Amino acid sequence: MVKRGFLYEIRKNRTLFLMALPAVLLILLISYIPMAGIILAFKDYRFDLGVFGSHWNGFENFKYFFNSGTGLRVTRNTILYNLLNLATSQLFAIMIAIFINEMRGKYFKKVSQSVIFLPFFISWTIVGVFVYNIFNYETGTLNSMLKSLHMDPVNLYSTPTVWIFIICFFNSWKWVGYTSVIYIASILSIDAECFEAAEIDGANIFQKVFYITIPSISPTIFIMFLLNIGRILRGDFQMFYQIIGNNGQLFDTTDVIDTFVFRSLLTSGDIAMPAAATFYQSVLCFVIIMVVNGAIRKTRPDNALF
Amino acid sequence: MRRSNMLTLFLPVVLSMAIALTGCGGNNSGNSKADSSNGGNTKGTTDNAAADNTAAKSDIDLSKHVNLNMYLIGSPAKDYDMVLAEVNKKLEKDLNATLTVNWVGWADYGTQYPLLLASGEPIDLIYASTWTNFYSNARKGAFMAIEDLAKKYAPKSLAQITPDFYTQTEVDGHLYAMPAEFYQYGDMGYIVRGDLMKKYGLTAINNIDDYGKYMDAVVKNDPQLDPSGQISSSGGLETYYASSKGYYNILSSQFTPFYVNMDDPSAKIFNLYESDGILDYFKKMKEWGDKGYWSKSILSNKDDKMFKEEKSASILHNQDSWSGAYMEHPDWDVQFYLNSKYTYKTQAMQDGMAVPASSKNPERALMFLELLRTDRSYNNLLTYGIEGKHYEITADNKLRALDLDGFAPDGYCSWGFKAPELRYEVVDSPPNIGDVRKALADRAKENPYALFTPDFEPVKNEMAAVTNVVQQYSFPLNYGYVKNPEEGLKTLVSKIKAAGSEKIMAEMQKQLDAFIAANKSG
Repeated sequence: MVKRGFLYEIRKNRTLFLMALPAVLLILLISYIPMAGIILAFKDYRFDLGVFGSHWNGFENFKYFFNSGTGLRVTRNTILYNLLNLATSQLFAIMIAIFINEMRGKYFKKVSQSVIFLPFFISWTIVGVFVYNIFNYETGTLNSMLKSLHMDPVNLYSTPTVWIFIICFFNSWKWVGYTSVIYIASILSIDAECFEAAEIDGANIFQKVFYITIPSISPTIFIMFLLNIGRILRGDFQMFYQIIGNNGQLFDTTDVIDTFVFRSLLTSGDIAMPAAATFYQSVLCFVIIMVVNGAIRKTRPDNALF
Repeated sequence: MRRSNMLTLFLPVVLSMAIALTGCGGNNSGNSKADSSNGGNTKGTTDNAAADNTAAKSDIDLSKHVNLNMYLIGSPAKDYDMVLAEVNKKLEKDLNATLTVNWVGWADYGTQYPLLLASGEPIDLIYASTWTNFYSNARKGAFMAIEDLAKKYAPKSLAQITPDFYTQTEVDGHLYAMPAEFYQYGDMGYIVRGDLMKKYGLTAINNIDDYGKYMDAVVKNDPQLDPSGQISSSGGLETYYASSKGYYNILSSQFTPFYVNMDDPSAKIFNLYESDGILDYFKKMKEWGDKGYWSKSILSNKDDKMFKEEKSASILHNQDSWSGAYMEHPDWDVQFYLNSKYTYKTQAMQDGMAVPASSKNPERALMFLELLRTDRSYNNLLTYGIEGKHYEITADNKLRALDLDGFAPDGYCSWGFKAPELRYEVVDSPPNIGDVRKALADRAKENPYALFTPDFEPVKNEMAAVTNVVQQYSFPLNYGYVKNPEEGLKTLVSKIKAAGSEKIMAEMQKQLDAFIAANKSG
């Protein structure tokens, strides 16, 4: 094979490169260029000196994170929430993709897909208001219902453990429509002949799902899994902040890195300290994704990301 | 093959990244250079202009149209856009500029305000005050030093600032904000409904316990009302408890428990959670919380209009909020009762306006601020609304509000440019406002710490940790959500110690002692 230059590559595939260009530019603009800001984590930031002019201060900015021992708790919470959300939302998304795919009525199919997709467009701020109005002790929907059934009202805002489920539920509710689109697309790309052959052989619907659909979309499942693993140390700040707010009673189970950092620094206005926390998240994420990807490459080389 | 593919993919990425980075760096340094040379220029011209004051205005270049971006705290009036259009009409003519006003809500100002300054978004004017951490933000270079610029662009405002206000505002020898030339004896008190008081047979609220009686009566007689109407960021009655004992929040910082006892001449900083009586207070709060004096879900409540919208029976705030509420609901006969043992003359930076360092048009911003502070027509618009629609001036030169729904006088963060000589007494303001002001003045005490502006830099890690601990452990105690206050307080104290409260107290005591020593000699 003749080794060709970089320019040749571009000329040969110029249409493809052109098509990829907007996305590449966007990634550059949003993900690569700001990466220079990482140095902030090691600086004593002043508004007037700017990112590059401020003085270095070593690991000073990381101290607050581990000082009070909360750093480890919130790291644990973040990871557990992400694993739980990853498992539930992917599971529901796959189920919904299969259901929708099996539906026969054209209009019913479209309508249910749209309804499931809708929560994706609702901002967390609004969801936070929903949650407060459903669960608050005095006037919430839940307690009003309980009271009308002559049952004792429950004070969920002082019961930390239920929030794990509430958060998990709302996370799935919001994302499931969006994620399922990816799976629907991947199911549609399965060769229809497989299903026809299975039908002739007398396979029932469950057998088709478990022996054809799921194995065929497994590469997509792995990719989605890997992509989400990369975010495992990022708490969905909007979700946690809007649903939980400043409610200290619930922090033991609901505090994630992002909300903890936000709350610690809200009065200080220092931006180098949150940068340090972000840096910590990124480094851990990088390690995790390298390890997981490495493991997958060992066992199922075709499904690894890189 | 695979490897070389990867390389070809990454090469352009890395290359363009390098280019972009160097481009950025170059730009940045260029910018800052331009800035500094600008600063030099202005200084030069001001010096020249000082010789001939009358010529000063004419050499200001207004040929380029600019849009001024102003941030205020609260939420806008229904008719704010209408008023803003009016302002813009005038501003276009006078300064060749337009004004955009953005709002930071009450429930979130503590969080959003520092983010705004950190984001680098070009903001030309922002409300600044002690309770938005003016001093620590200024130390970190969030605001532009305006002492030189103001000589040329806002000379009248600069001259208005009295020497003691000037020194109070100064940080490290620079003026980072224009304090509103206005003071009163401030106090956070109890704003309650007079009609309900009468109904319950209560005559006055003189302390926290009286307030408890009021809330108790609300629970018993008007269960549809939330007795206290508090929101997630208020933190309960803790500050009320502290100030009723004559304690002074020496760090003027939210979410810190460090106080000085005003009756104690030795100026010793102490931790409120380790002081005598705090346990009894928390026990009382537990009792009150159980009795339903406030919602069990307060910590997630962000509704800051509960009192005005008749969802709650009281609100904890200052006399200005009281007169606003009084006028909005005359039939409620809203009353204001004092709480603190001592009142202090409000500090210079109780209210003020600053030009953030990110401003692209500091000159025009200052000129606009000058108009707001000295030109009645501008000040009236943003303070009282549109004449004839929102207010009218009576024959005896008082202000009558016409449309409180549309634009209530003084209700929309116009405090940053309050000008005493432009203000009107309001016709429908509470009849006992004079008595309240007198009562406030009667409790006044000379505040020896008014000029003390702590520098948190050496203890910023500890401050962050303490802020976090206070929110997590003291808020629930203050609302009586913790089953056993005794245990809760122990946890709180140990967590705060672990977070470094003692280091903060030692450092702050050092700074405070140095401040007192410097003041004595000076």
